[in-house]
Amino acid sequence: MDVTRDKIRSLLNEIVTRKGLLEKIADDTGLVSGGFIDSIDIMDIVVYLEQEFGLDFIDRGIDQTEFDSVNSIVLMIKEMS
Amino acid sequence: MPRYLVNQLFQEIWWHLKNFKIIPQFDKYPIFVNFSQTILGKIVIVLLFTLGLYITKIAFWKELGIILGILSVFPRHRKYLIVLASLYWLFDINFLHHTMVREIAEDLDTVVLINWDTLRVDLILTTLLFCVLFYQLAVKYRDSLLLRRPIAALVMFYFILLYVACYVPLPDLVITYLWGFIIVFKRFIWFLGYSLLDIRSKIPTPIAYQIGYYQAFWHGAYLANLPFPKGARYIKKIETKTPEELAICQLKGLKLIYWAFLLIVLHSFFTNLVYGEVGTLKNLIQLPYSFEVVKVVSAISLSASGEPLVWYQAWFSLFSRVIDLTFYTAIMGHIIISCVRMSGYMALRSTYKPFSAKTLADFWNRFFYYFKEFLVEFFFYPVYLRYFKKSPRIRIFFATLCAAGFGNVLFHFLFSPKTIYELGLWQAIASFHVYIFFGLLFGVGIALSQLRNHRFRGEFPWYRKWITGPICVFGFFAFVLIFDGTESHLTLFDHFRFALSLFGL
Repeated sequence: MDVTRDKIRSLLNEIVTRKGLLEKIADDTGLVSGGFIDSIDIMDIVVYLEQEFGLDFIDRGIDQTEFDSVNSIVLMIKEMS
Repeated sequence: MPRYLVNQLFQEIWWHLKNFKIIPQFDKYPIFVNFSQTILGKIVIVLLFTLGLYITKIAFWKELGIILGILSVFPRHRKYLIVLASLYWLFDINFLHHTMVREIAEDLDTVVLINWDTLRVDLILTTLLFCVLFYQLAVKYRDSLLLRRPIAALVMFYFILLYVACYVPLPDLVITYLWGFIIVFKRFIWFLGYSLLDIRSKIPTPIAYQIGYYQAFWHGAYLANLPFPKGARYIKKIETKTPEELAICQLKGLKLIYWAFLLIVLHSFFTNLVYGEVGTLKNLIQLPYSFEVVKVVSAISLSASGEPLVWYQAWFSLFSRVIDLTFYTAIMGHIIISCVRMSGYMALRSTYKPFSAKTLADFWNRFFYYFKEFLVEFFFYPVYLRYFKKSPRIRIFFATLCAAGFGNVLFHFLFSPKTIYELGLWQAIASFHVYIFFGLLFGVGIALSQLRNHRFRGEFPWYRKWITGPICVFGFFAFVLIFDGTESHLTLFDHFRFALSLFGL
């Protein structure tokens, strides 16, 4: 799971630094609630999770609160795998 | 003076200019944050906020002030108090008017058959009960063909209601009540939608809790139809947990209401100077001179009657509309979100520096954040997750078009029951053709912008960032606003004639 965590951390860091909002994020930083990422960025994360982990969100749908932090995304991956 | 000191001085001045705020950042000073946690501090904040509501000319400033005062003193009971306040708002304040129901009753000769004293309560109770019933059905039959896509089922249901009300020969009294239900339900449909989206989440929020936030009292500050700030699940997520968080949140809310007031002052100057109209602050702002710019709708009517404006007047008219709309959207969002923050929820601003956007998609995000989020959650994600998974570019394009185009048009169409009653469902759809064209144009613009953003990962060059980007965004938005009209007497052709007049044709 640490590899997964590193991958997610690096993806999210890339997104927030690209937007020039934060330099580095902690694992529990509230990204959606803090306004650092929005629904369109979540789409990028979904594509990444589909490609990298073979996840399918059709049945589950997208709940933005599950994308709020590195921790919650890792937990979601664990549940869906 | 030594050169390094000059440099230092300039750097200092630049830093201050860059960080200058019209409204000081009280929420960043520990002294204010600590004071705001005391009873006296809470009273001062609520009083200042209520004053802010009063000077921004909010009709129910007293009621809102009292509700927010109670919420500030008893933050632990926030969720129950909000439910009570929202119910009071719905039932006791003349919030859901039934002017249109009365017009229909007069039209159908059923005025004497209706108990007008209890009608509003009856309709609201029926609507809330219906929402609970629909939600429970969607939970129970979540895997059935019909309710697997609950939002689509909800929209279909609303259209069936409209069809029945327009075309099925029922007794006049039934028709009157049906229209009454449709009119009230249109204010709740997307709140129920957020509850339906929540069904498949890991730990669904109980419906009783969600109902409390349907038309939560802060919507009354500006009579908004869109759920601010999204559904109950999101609201729970952004709730402040500690007294310090609450204090910071309320200070941010206080700042925002005064920011809204400043925008109202500017907007009043603007409408007075540009259109010659008195704005919200009619007693304060009366300029001796006005440009008397013609509003876009009137300009289109003039073009339709063969008397188009001169090209530069047409451009003035169009750009003034963009600025006017931006003021309106920002003020509405700021007032509602300031009340949300005062209630203890750290919601993001609805409008944030829209003209600093470098791309159209970014502009839309900054212009009306909660409407964009609504379109994304209700229309973009469901399409994006299902279709064109093997063609990334088509996937983004199609899903964006569905959200910014179809979703946008649907949202506005469902809020025009008066037109639907007068013209009938099919005719009303036909009369909406200009807005449908707007949705298509806007959707394609946003979709193309999304595609470009997706391809481009680096930093924009300075000219793109500060010159060409903002000009293109502003220009495109102004252009599509030509077709933003929902007036049924003007055709698409009339709008195109106005568009041509911009180029002297």
